Formats: sequence, structure tokens, C-alpha cells
Amino acid sequence: MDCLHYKEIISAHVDGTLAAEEELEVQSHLDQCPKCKQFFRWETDVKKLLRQKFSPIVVQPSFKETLLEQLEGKRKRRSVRWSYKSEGIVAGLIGAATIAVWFLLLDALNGRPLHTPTVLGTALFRHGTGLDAPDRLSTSAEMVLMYTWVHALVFCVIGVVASKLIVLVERNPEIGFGSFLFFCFFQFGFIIAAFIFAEPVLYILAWPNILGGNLLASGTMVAYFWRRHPKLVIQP
Amino acid sequence: MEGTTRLISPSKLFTFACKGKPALREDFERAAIPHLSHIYSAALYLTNDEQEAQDLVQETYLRAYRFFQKFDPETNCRAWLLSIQRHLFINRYKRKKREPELIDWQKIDEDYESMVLQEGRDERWNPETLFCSKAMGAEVENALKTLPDELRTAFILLDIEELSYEEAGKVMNCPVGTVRSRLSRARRMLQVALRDYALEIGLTRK
Repeated sequence: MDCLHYKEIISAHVDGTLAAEEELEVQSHLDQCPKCKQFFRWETDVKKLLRQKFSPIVVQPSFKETLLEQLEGKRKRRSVRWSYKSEGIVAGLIGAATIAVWFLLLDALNGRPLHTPTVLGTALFRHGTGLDAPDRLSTSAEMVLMYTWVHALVFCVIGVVASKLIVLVERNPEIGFGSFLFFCFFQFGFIIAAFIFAEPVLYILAWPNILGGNLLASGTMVAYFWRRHPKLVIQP
Repeated sequence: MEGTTRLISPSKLFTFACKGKPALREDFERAAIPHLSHIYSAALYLTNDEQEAQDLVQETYLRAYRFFQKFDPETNCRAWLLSIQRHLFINRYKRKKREPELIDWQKIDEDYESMVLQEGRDERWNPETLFCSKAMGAEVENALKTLPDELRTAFILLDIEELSYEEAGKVMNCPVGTVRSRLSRARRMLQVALRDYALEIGLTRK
């Protein structure tokens, strides 16, 4: 092989990174070729000098401090990001519990405890079987539990959306009003959609009761968020 | 009860609520901060600008912290940080730079060869003259700036940051053979640039 080939790998030979076979091959060539041997000597010296010349640059302590502060800030932001989900879920559970308690009280006052979740559960999971005569529908623990869980999940979704919007508004107060409108649209849109799909049920459950329950739930959720974010500013 | 199989279970909801627990900052600092001066040096040699280098280092560390859970503690943390840095550099900083000029490799090879073979014939021609003369202060760094990005990166990763050929290959996303050839070319080009400077200031004669 010609010297051109060896020149390419001499610097790798200097670094000691050639495979054993290549090492032997280069070594035997160097023993025979004074020109390449000269390259090898030169490269060995150059490598040593380069190491000295390019030793790592000392970082100013102020830069290091700034970097550590930024990491700390990132950690705080991360904890906000972490908490928005749990915060939203907690808010959702609070809202769901408020409505559950509201209807528990109403049903108890009407002398039919757990009637509402039974009706809603039947509408949702049994395709409305038995809703023709809702007064004769017997209370079912299964329907109550299943409906309560779905109800809680839906509120958790609403809570997480609200919580995420709050995080966004905290970072950009100017989008606050838009986010508020979006959330109202989202929540009312959701309720209206539920009304449309659950039309038969709505004849059974009184409108003012549903509205009252939702307003109460919104109130408790807002109160919870307000407590968590007392400094929240909304700029139009 | 069909519906229950499709519902999210309470335990899943709890896992979702607690998801995204941040990495321990102490672990990150212990692993990554000792490499700061190396990462900073590499950033400075890559960008040739102090402010840009600081921005690049900050971005590198913030990103590394964000993805710290993906770091394998069995591997070289410096190589991992350099790999993030190179990725950021290519995406954000390189766009600003103009296309590199065409390089006359034949001339560089000839110049390099004549320089090396001159040693012995002219006692003033040796690597020491090239790198250690007082007149060669910032010139070595300036010479490094003239290298195309790929060669400069190979040089920084191997000769300054002391990564292995394999690690550098992973950082640059290329085979070891390419790393070898880039490094060899980078060293040659750097020496020719220094030689030109030496001739220019009359340190030695051609």
C-alpha cells in the first residue's frame, strides 16, 4: 500500500486507537519508510502540544451561579407543571363531590335517596331501560357507583383543562380573558352536549336542580383555584 | 358491567396525577456540573463568540436536566452533554452561519507534507515553533476558527474534550472511520494555517 493510505491513519496510530492488525501493519510500514516515520514523530509532538494549548477554559463563578439558578428555576417550573395535573384532578373531584352532595341532599329531601345517580347511571349504562317509569326505578348501588365514577372523571378532565389554562395565564396574563372565555365555552359546550345526548333524562331531572348543582360545583372549583393561585392576574 | 372495563381505574387516575415527578437536581448537578468547563470550552470553540457560547451552554444544561431521566449513568456524561450541545448548535446556531468556502485539500496536503519533511533540514521548523512561540498566542485559536464545522467538531471532541473515537462517533452520528479521517484532516489543516501565519510574520522561512 502507498504512503497516502498510511498518512490517513497515522494520526489514529498516534492516538493508539487502531485495531491490533492495523497497528502491526502501520508499525511495519513505519520501520521501512523514513518519510512516514517522520510524519509519525511530528504528529506525536503535535498531539502533546495541542493538549497543552487547548486545556479547558475556566468558567467564571458568576456564570456557574447563573446556570445553577436557572436549573433551580426550571425545577420550580417543573413542579408547577407537575402540580397542574394533580391540582386539576383535585379541583375536578371537589366539583364532582359538590354536585354529588347537592343531589344527595335533594334526593333525601324528596324521600328518594340516591335516585338521581341511579337514573343517570341507568341512562348511561343500561341505555335507559326502565326510564319509562322512573318513579318505579329501584335504587341500584352498582349504577350509583358507576355513574359517580364517570361523573368524577368528567370533572377531572374539566379540572385539568382549567388548571392548564391557569398555568398559561400565569405565564402570559394578556391571554387571561381569552382563556376564561375558552373555558366557559368548553364547560358550557360540554354541558349542552350532555343535555342533548341525555334528553330523556332531563325530563326526569329538574332543570333548576342541574343548573344549581353545576353552579355550586363551579363555585367550589373556582374557590379552590383561587386559594391555590391568589396572585393570579387576568388582563383583558 | 360492560362499561366498567372501558373506564379509567382510580389507580390509573392517581398515577396520572403524580406523573412527571422531576429528576433529582442533586443527581443532575453531581453528574453534569463537573463537566461545565469542558462543555463551555467546546461551546466557545464551536461558536467563536462568548455570548453565544454562554447561551449554548445554558440551553445544553437546561435541556440535559429536562431529559436527565434518559441519561444512562453507565455512559460518559460529558459525551452525552456534548451530544446535546452539538444537536442544539446544529439546529440553532449553524443556521446563522454562511456556507463554508471550498477547501483546496490538495494544496493543504502538499503544504503539510513539505512542512513536516522540512523538519531536520531547518532546525527552526518543528512542532514547538508552530505551537509554543510567544507570537502564537491567540493564533492557535484563530486557526481553529478557520476549520469547517465538521472538522472543528471532531477536533474539539477528540483533542480538547478527550472523548474516545467511538464516543465522538456517537456524538457526531457517524462511523469511527469518518471520525478518524475528520480528525486527521482537522489536525493537518490547523497546522497548515499556523504555518502560514508563521511564514507571514517571518518566524521562519519557506
